[in-house]
Amino acid sequence: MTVQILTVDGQIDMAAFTEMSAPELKDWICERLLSAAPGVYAAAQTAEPAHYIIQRLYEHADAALREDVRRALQEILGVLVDGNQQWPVQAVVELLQVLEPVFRESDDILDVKSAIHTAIDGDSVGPFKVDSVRRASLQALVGLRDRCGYEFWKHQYEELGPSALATVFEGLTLYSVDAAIHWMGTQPETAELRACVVNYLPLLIEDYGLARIEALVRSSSTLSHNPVICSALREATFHCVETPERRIAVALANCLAPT
Amino acid sequence: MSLPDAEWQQARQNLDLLCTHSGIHRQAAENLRTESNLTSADLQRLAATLAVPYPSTDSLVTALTLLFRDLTFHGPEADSGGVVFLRMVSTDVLAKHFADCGYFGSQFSARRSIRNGTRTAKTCRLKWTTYTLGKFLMWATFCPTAAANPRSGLPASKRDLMCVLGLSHLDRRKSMLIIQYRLPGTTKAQVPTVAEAYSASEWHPYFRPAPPGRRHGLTQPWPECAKLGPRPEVIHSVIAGNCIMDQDDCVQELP
Repeated sequence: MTVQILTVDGQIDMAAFTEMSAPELKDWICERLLSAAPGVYAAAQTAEPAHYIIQRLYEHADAALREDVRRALQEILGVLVDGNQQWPVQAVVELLQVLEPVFRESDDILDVKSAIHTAIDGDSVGPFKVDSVRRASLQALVGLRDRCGYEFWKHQYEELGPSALATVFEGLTLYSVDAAIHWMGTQPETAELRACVVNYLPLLIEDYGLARIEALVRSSSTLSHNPVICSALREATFHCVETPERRIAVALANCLAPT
Repeated sequence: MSLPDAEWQQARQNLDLLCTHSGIHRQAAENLRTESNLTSADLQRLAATLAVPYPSTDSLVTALTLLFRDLTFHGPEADSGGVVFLRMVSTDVLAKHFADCGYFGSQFSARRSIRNGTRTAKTCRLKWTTYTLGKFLMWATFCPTAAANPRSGLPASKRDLMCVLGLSHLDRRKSMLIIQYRLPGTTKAQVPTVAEAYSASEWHPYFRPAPPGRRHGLTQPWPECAKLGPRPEVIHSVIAGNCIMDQDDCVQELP
């Protein structure tokens, strides 16, 4: 927290990092993440989240520094998953939130996903059992495009409830879009469901085509007659100019309308 | 403010110490000296924080950062009633925020959805109705002479906009979003102070305190385009997407 890494003209002071040894870099990352701990940070929540600067450093780093950052994050994650250190919940959340941008394109992605699964599935009662950490862990898995099964996601939703709806839905789409839409059709009508429909169906249509998504929605009697979903889609079309997204939304609204 | 001479001496030494640390800290020390919008109670706390010896400049910076986190939103109310505000933020940062809040399962999907949605402001308003558009506080600009059009007088290009608004250099190659909105009745715009500029772990390099007597702050343009001049600048608490204006150009992505 105390090492200022921006220069006076707003650039990252790369020299400060290239001079750091790997352990020093790891200490710096720990310090940043731990600055999110209550008492240090939460008293007046005004600062940029702690992990943003790590992500920005990573984006601007050369290959060698990137590797050092990845290694440091992996080591920190490993220690926490093993239960050899106890970090405050918010600091663990910050760590998990930086994993997607850092590891998504890296060769270490499998190791990271494996560590997160160990944390989620483990029997320990550490921070990974806390809801906010669990949610961030699941988001990290989704961000790293992990293909967990239907039962896994169903179980996670049972444990975490509607606050994890978007994460669980996106996680399910990675497993099977059929399963995801079927699952959506089993959910009660809530604001979270409405938001999920409006946000994700256009993306799914882009990925899978309108014909397939329309067929899936029609095949779900609950979904195709769900007034919240119909209403949400009509809202999304309201007053929109002619765009591909609008055409998609109109098509969906039509296919969802009671026949 | 009443401090014994020895403590004033210590405070001056600490400011001098700050000046020697880095360019940002030198500017910050200058800004601390010229800040005129903190309350006397806040200034008292600032003086008290500066009036003790620190083992290193790093610990002095930490102490100031922690103090400023306690002093945010203490500036006076800005003279910006009824205006439309404009905020420029990188698409990546907003996507990250949406994902962090759990509105999306991943930053990847949040980014895709933002890019799809920004074709019209109405779509964004509908999709983001309940979504917060910032994490802790939001910086914004407005046009005092054209209340309904915050883009009046602003340059058109992304680079010049970022430059005039004094945004982070680190985002200059990223896609940026311009969002225009009104504040809800319960939210007021305030004059930014050193507290907002230096409460993050990374102190913001492009900040200068509002000139005395002015009812809003002024942006600090990047040095390379200082000729473009500053813009009015305010801070306010986090608002939701339902505050976005309906006109089509009120959300625009600049790749």
